[in-house]
Amino acid sequence: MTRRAELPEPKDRRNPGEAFLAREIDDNRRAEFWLIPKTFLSLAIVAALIVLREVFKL
Amino acid sequence: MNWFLLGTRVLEIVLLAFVATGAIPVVVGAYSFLLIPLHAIRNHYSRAAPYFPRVAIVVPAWNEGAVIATSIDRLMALDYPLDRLRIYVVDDASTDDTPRVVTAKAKQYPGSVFHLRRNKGGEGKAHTLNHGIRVVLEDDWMQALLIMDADVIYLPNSLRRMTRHFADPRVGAVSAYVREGSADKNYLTRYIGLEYVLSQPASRRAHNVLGAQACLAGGAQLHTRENLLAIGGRIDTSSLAEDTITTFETQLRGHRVVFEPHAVVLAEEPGSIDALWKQRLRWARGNVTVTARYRKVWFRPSRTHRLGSISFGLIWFSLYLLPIAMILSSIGLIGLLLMHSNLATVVFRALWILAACTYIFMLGLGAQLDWGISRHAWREVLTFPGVISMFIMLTAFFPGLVERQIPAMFDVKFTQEGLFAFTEFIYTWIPLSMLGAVLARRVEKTRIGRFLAPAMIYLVGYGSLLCAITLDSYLKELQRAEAKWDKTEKTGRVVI
Repeated sequence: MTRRAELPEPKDRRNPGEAFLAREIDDNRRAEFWLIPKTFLSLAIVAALIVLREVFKL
Repeated sequence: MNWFLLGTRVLEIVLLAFVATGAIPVVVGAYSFLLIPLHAIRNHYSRAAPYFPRVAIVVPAWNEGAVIATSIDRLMALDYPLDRLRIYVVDDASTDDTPRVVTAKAKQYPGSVFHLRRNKGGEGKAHTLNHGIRVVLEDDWMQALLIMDADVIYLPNSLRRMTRHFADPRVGAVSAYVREGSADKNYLTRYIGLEYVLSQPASRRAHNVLGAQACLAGGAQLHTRENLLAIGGRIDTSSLAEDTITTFETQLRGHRVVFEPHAVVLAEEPGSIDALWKQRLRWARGNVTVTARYRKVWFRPSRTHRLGSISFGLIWFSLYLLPIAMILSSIGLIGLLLMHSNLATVVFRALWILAACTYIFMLGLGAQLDWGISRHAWREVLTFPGVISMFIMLTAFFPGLVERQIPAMFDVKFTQEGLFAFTEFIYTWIPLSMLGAVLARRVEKTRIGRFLAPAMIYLVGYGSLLCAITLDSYLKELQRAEAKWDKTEKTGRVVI
């Protein structure tokens, strides 16, 4: 999968144009997918702690 | 039948039920955070589209001379068409130089900035807002209304990121992410920053997934004109929770409320326990009103709105009744311990291991949602539940380590009585931690408070401080104490 180019700065920031705004919405929507690996990472830390408890039986 | 044995068994079951109440908010907290990744799929972006309605911004201002000029300049610099933006500063009979500053700004931005003066002030934010709302509703120029606080700073792209959701006519209101933005952060503002990450980009995403929002941020709520008219064209003035009531009324009329995590607004938050206590007591007492007012909404699913869903009800009441649940669980544990029940240790470990896992999961996920805040607040991320609570979690997770191995390193050993006293202490810790938070507030006002109060909050935990404030709100409501509007003092410490 190729990485999408960074959103270019619009020439008129008050009226950036439909294409820019639509692209911004799309980028924000795509950014939400990072929530999935972030959640898994947090759960993995919890799982690691439980494994540690079970392995070492402290 | 042995009545003593039966009585003991019944008491044991009751005490177990008490302990279980402490697990409910923990499980519900974990559940709500497990909804967050679903926001990747269940969000409102597919219905959002470029859209620039004519926005009237109403800024309530009472003695905001220190911050209002910067706020107006920032608003005028928003990435938004200038002919579609008007700012109405409602000066609530200020006694400082607010009128002079706003009048000067109105001259600087003719046709864009308006100074509205109330001669009778001090009635609260909702009255002040209503003065401005009445004016903007007099003609049909306004298509959307932004309600904000005088001290908050909108990032340039924030407003257009909010308005895009109004391309969907079902949406009645949009809220932004209010981020702690003080330049001179202290331990408390860092805790607040972290709490805001957990309660907004984290929890409110979960609320988006559920289709029900608990509260529009007071400093960043955007309404469509239709929604504003539908809720009566005014903000509720009968309670201290006008933001929550507006949010509920919007949804009860079938309009959606959307939280936009990519629209960021910076706000100055209290830097002292006392100021935070006053602010949160106002919020907590407002929530008591909301809970009672919408008693016919809870746990009653409806086709019009999602406020009555079981999930949303559980999330609301888990937070609302958190201090009671925590105290009951401590009573249950102590009761079982005094009965010399074998269950005491088992349920203690189960409860605190569950709490530890949930804490690590929530903080781990929350910290990743705003690295800017987490980087500065790493100490607060690590100590959010309090250093002593973390030690108790360690005891639950690795009992041998705390009860045998660490003492052995110092050539000491727990006696039977010593172990019992230690166990009593950790079982009663949650109510004690709330007491510790109350003491920290008292200590803060003394000469050594500058050093001692932060140390106490790190020890007892920021969560216990919030629980103590909620508990205070119950007491104030029971005493029918006067519910007055205490404005949080702002000094213009916010920077981008």
